[in-house]
Amino acid sequence: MRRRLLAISVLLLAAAGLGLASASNLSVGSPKLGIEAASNPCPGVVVATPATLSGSRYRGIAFTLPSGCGSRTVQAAIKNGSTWRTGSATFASSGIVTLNNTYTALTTMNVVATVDGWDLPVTWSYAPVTCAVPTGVATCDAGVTIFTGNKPGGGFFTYYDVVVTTTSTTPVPWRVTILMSYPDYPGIPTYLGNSTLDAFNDGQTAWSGTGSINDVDRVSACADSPVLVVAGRPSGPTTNRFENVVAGRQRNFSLVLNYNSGPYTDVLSPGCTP
Amino acid sequence: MFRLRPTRRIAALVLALVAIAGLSAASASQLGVNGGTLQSGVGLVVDCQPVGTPVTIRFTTSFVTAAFSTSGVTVSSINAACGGLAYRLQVLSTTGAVIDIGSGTATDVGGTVPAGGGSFTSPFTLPIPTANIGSIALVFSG
Repeated sequence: MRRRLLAISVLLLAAAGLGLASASNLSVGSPKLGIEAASNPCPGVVVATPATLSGSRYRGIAFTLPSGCGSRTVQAAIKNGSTWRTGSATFASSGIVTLNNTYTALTTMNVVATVDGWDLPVTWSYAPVTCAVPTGVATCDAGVTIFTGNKPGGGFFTYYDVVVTTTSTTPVPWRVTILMSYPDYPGIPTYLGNSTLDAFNDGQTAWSGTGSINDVDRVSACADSPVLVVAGRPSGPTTNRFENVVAGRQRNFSLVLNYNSGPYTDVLSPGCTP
Repeated sequence: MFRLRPTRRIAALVLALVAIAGLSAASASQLGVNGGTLQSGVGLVVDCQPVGTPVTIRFTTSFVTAAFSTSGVTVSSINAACGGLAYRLQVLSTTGAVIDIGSGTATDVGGTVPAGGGSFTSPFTLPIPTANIGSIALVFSG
């Protein structure tokens, strides 16, 4: 900060020098000044995940920008073997940068990016699930267990059973990214049923007081599929909002693959169904 | 977008006012007075860019070899009141050190804001690594 002020002072003195000659005329007017200091409009590290599956390769990179960034142009490059794939896109909140060629996703990849030309530090993730705190003030973790089998009450189902945790001692919002195309997963679903009636969730009561609630809402665009980003639906008592997570109080939710019936609401719809 | 806090903004404006007033007074003290009437007056420094509407900064970057490189900057959303003023722009590193983007002995770049404000693009003399850029300082004056 001290150096920034020093730089501004130097600029001011340089600018003031421009008006020195006119001082000899002793004309007193109203000089105008404008002083601006700017830094990265989207500070923080973002998570990048593979997107836009093309056969067994990907052609895009999905980004979720820190909250408050607004609409920005993201440039990205990813190293595929010995060559780089590049591209850019403009979006707000989250979006996909489509590259000039496909790449093979690996668990470790070299990715660089900019946002409006500012450096955008990136953490590459080719994991089935990741968690992010959109405000950037803390971190969170998410884990997914694939359940396949019979459920009480009858029926054979496949579930994403998701657990969200954090070490933050103050409640923070969370977002979970699920790579539905991950090789070990049971395939990209057509529907994803979500209901508070499932035993594996964060409470079976209707916190909203207005009836059944859906535990998560889709944040990502339909076009982002097979990348799915969900956030906890704002509900619950003031001291225990489901959209927040805090140390010692994990959030659980379940998504039933290819099921959209009765109290189960499809988090992919509207608009994402084939 | 980061902006100077009001107290620092005011402090910077006061500094600018003192700088300009001091230079004017020093110059006036050297004037030859030939029995004429000496006039004096007071001028106010006017901030041409409203506090609530910061300028937008976008860099011109390209991917070179294995990293992004920055070759210029575009400043937009400039208030009309800043139109026609001179500007100086300095790029600072992530640690606050000055990054040389100028030519000759100057480390900054400068020019004139288009009449009516709006935007301008200022190329750098030499491209710099994008990852090195931490912030920019920009001054309009006139």
